[in-house]
Amino acid sequence: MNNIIVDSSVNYNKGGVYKLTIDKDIDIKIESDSLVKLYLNTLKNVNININAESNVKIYNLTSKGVVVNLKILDEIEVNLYNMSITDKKIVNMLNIYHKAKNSVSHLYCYGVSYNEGNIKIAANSYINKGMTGVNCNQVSRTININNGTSVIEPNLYVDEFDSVANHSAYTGPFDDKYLFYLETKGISRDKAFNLLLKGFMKLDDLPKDFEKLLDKKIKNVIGR
Amino acid sequence: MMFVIDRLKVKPKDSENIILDDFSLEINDGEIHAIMGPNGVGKSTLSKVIMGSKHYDVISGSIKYNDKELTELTTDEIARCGIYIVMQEAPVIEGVSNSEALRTALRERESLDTNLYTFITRMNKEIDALGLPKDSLHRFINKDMSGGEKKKNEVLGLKILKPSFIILDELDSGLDVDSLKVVANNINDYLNENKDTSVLIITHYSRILDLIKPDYVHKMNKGKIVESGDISLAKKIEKSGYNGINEMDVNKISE
Repeated sequence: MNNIIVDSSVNYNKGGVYKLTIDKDIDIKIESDSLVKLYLNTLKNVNININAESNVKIYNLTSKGVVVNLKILDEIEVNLYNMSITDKKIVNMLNIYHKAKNSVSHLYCYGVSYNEGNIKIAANSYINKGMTGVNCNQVSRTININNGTSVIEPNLYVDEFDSVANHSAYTGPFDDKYLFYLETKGISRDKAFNLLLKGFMKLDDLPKDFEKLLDKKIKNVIGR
Repeated sequence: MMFVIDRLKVKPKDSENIILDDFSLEINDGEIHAIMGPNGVGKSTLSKVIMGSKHYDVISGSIKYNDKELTELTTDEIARCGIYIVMQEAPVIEGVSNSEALRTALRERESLDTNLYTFITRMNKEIDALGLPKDSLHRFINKDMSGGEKKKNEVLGLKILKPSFIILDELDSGLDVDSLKVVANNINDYLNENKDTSVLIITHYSRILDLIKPDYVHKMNKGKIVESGDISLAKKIEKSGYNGINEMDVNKISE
């Protein structure tokens, strides 16, 4: 893993895996000849502006309010995973701008709102006139625990007929049938809950150190 | 006497309709009982109530397993008493793998070995025996599995967790003939190795009873057992249907 010291702007022109800890507004440019995987640990309320000219997977883990403006500038595929776990009132605004024909975006917003937390996820994807062949997808899921609440606002702003746009959204508690199923295997309700929570937030290709960060945040929820 | 349901009366939490009414049943160690009945008579409710589902209220009566009152226990406690249900429709649980769930379940039972090497070896052996895909160990629970594979996956859990009382809720639904044979053979193998294990089969059809042979067959109607017998009762139901037998019962009463 490459650890980068962050200034107010950073460029990636070489494929690979990078990790950034972010505590101020930042501009990021991706222009590599192979896939860039970018793991962001966002510590404060910030704006993250990303210009992508090559394929990229971005993972953002946060407990804070974040605005991500992601511009897709070439015929590429972009995956943005936003993972927020909080007991505070926060807004995560994820804006995807398709600025190139035939570009593909997958936006995944996963949130856990616990205790007195309130997450608002505004997922906005923009396909302007002339951006033919664009494929744009949003999946948003938030889980509310204890008194936690959340709102998902999925918006697809599409001004081009020759494009595809999908979204799905769910907000609420864990479905009781999952807990019941695990309990019928002899797993206590608390442990069943922990399994579901970890499963909900964990993605397949998280590096070990990033996974540890996620575990730490999940432990805060579990020890609620 | 091992498993005793005594005059159980049950209703759903959100309704006043009585689903199980004066339901009684006794199952001894090593016995296989089958409950047959048409849709809506309370068969699946029975299995959920035994497992402590929070969606039902037990108004009166009791369910005892080895003298423990199950209606006072939570679902996980009931399972750890050695009771295992093969669900009619097991859910897909994204993010939780078979190995995570079953190893956690083993850890919760202090008496069972959770050594990682032993666990993986056992899992792989049972996965092969059931003809499940090789990657089932690490697959999310029931993810991308056909109806038949889901049932096999449930039987995988059974063989790993080694229950002493098994509930098979509509085992044959969603299974083709070949998969049904594989599943039934695996359950029979388990029963041969664990002679004291009891089974409660809940089913519409008698075909599963040709493969897992019951000692007793009970016909259920309107929330209670209305007739009991041996396998010949299942054959009679298969031949005449549930209505046919009901009509016969009515005639008997009128006589």
